Amino acid sequence: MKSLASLDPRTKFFLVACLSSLGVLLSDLRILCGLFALCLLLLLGFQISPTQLFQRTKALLGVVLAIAVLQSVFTPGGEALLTLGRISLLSTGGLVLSGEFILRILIIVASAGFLSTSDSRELIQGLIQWKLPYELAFMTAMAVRFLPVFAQEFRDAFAAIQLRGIDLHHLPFRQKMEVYAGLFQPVAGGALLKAKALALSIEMRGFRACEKRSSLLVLRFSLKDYLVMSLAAVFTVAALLYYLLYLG
Amino acid sequence: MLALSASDLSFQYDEKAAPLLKSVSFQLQTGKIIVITGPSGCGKSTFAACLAGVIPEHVSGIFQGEVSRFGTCGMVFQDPDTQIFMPLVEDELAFAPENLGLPVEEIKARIEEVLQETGLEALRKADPGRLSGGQKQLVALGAVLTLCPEILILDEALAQIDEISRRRMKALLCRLKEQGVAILMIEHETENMDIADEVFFMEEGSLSPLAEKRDAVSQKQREKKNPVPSPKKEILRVEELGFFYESKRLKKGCKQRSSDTSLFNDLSFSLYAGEITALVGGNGAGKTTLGKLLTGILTPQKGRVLLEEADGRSLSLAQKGSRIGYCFQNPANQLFTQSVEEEVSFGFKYGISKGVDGRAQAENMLSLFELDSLRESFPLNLSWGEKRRLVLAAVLALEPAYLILDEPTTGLDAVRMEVLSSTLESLRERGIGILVISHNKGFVQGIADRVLSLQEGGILDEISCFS
Repeated sequence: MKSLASLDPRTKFFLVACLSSLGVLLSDLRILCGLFALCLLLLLGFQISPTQLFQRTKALLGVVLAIAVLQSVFTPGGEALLTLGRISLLSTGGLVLSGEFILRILIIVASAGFLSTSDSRELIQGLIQWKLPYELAFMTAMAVRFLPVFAQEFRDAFAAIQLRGIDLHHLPFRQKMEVYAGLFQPVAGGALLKAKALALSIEMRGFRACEKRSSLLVLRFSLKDYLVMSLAAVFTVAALLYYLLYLG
Repeated sequence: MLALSASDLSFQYDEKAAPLLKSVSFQLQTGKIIVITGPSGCGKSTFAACLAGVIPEHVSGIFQGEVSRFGTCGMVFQDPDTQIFMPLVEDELAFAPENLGLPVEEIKARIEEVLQETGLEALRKADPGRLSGGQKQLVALGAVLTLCPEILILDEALAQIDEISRRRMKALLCRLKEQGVAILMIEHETENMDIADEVFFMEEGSLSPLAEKRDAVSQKQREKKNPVPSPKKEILRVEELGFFYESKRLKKGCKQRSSDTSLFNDLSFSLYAGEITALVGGNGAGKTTLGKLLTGILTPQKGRVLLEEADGRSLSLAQKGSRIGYCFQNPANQLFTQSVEEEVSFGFKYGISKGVDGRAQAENMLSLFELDSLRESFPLNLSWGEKRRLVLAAVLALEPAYLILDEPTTGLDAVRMEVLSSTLESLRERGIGILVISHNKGFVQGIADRVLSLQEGGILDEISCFS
């Protein structure tokens, strides 16, 4: 289990695809619980701390939780647990549905976490070797790479504002909104200028100059990759068949 | 043999804008180094972009004239942050030869050579995004060198590099020149001009040869004004400071970096009012990080920073910001308004200085840093040097008690550097303390009362400015 992080990125993509597909296709709380437990085990196998992973996605998980509560309220079923007049606020069916929704998202987040053990260059190369046009693979990877950069720029802008002696926490609401609204255009404009400058820089380094591109990094499947992919494929098919035959 | 030529080159960004280049003709021969210098915002970077083909191919505007290139052209831009995007230094260097479809063995050979030439061997597996400004600049330069260009255009590509690496890079450029590479350098720093065969001066869209290269190279060393001795008032005190960057990897149980990557351990020193202190040191030694710790942008894991005897941990960033003015290494990272005028007066509108009529002060700063004509411009559209001046104006307008400037001279021409030196000296006379983080030896020697040298491993020594 300890060496799962060294798997080929394509194997990791395959694992993510299998687990996410099962998470989306199967609508059974017990199976989803089992899948989530499997994801947690695999995370440990990849030497990823689940606590850290979920802490990093806590903003997303907050939204998921809010949606789950709404889902529970608006899709009642089964036995009513809490009512307001004739309106069922909480029901067993609603709870099951929201539980399934939360588990689905957790499975997707956890399985996507496997990819964090490969760097963006390895992921790009995996996609290229799967015959995805390299321009597209690079564009996708660059977009992913620049998300934290833009997040850092936002943080820099906030720090810079405060360093001008402006306490954002204690500004009156109207002024606070003025500052935030005013920030949008320069930060978005800055991001566009940066993206343009980056595009220029990569063009100047011969990007798309030749039809065929060579690569310093060439990925090769090992026996372990074949084994993991075979196991994942068998498990996915078996889980789907079991669901369709006995639970679906 | 001719490598690059431009004839009657004119360019303006749009019909309303003033022409940046006016019928410029220029030739660069193989095996020559030409430097173009001139005031910031005069069109040097635009000219370089025209020569490299970036304009008109990728940037729209009114372009007239003709540019001919006789060989592959590589260009290193001013801002390294917009040139690096790969996860490892090694991948960044491989990108250009990979694009050319070269065999893997050839790519490996080029990478090895460039790593050795640039002194980046130890960083080959490092994430370029987490390197210091100077190291990023070296990576950006190396990433173009692996292209093996016959024409090399460098737009202030040595500005943030430390003394040792700079000497190494200059020697490398001389070797490339001997191999027949044509090199064009856009430069402000006279220290980098000694390798040039010719130096041109650009002003108001026209290019003229400098009569004597030595005129630019051996500019008169400014006379340093000695501060009036007075009892030292401590503004900032650093006590047993320890800091390391936390790993971003989601690995189980490895939140902390190993101790060998600790930037500082038990760092202690004081900074005083009415004194200009220079912080020097090699690329990656942690100078910028130390600046951010002093201002409170970063929080130390160990020790504390005291601002006028108050523990920094008990003060908000805004409270610290109202006492300490800080200029980031990359000025673009601290511009957040829609016009130059708004940027300079922002602190008076919303900040602790709110209510103070800052108009006169803002006007003074706009005039001092020659930004009057740009007051309606969008700050992020300015040149690097103009952005630098704008940040200085915006920070100084708030009259901080202490000022921290991270590489304030990058992008500034000699005249503006002189204005900056005089401004800093007058601030010192008014009792304001200043910490200047810089690689610019001439500038540091001209203004610093005290020089602190930060070495790798977080060792801080006070050194003699002129030793």
